[in-house]
Amino acid sequence: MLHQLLERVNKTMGFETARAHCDIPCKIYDPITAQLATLSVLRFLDLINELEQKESLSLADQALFIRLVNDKEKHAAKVKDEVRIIWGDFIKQPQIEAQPDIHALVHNIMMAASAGKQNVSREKGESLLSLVNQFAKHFWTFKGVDTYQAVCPYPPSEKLVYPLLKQD
Amino acid sequence: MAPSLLSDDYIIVLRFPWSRFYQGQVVLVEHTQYQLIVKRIADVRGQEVLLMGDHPCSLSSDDMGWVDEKQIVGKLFCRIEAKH
Repeated sequence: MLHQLLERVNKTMGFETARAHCDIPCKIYDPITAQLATLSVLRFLDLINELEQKESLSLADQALFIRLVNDKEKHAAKVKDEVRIIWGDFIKQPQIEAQPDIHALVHNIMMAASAGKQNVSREKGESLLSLVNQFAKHFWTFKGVDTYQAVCPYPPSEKLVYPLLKQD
Repeated sequence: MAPSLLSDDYIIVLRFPWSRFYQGQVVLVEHTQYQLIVKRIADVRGQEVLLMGDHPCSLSSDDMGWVDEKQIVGKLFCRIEAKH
């Protein structure tokens, strides 16, 4: 009865709402998704630039060009999403204190990914990869995991930062 | 905060200038990251409190960090349970 009365008062006065729900952070974070999306951007840039070598584009080439541009942009947006999730959900005060430049790095990734969407220059993709690799290195440092660099065993065959995970 | 508090419950909180906060009390907090939340005090360190949820799936104390007592809006005085 008291609850019903408060419901009515709430409808007219509007009490402030507090959250006490059980937020369930899955704690599954890995920069590899952002790194793979960046490699995809680079791969699409390479394929777009291959098309440029042709003297003229057939209808099929034009259709392929449209698909490549669309997917390049989608993957550049995915890079931004994946990095933002780690930055927003995983990185907290202790990580910020350990790497005070993390905000600037994330902001640079946002700008580089936008530049990757706007341009077809490979350099833009390479800059993005370099930044995302730095982000991955920071992430694994936060987790206390050493990293190493290796060339990914598939196109675009670029260097990627990998975690050095050991099995006991 | 289940099972202590459930969705749609109404709560009344109180804070007086002389209010002191102790481990185990349920408090309404203006958290810098999670905004207005209700949690239980897990620990007290000087003018700071560490929060915890009652439910095993709650945000962890590490997630919420130490909170200044000034951010506590009030202690839980009364819960008006919603009919579930």
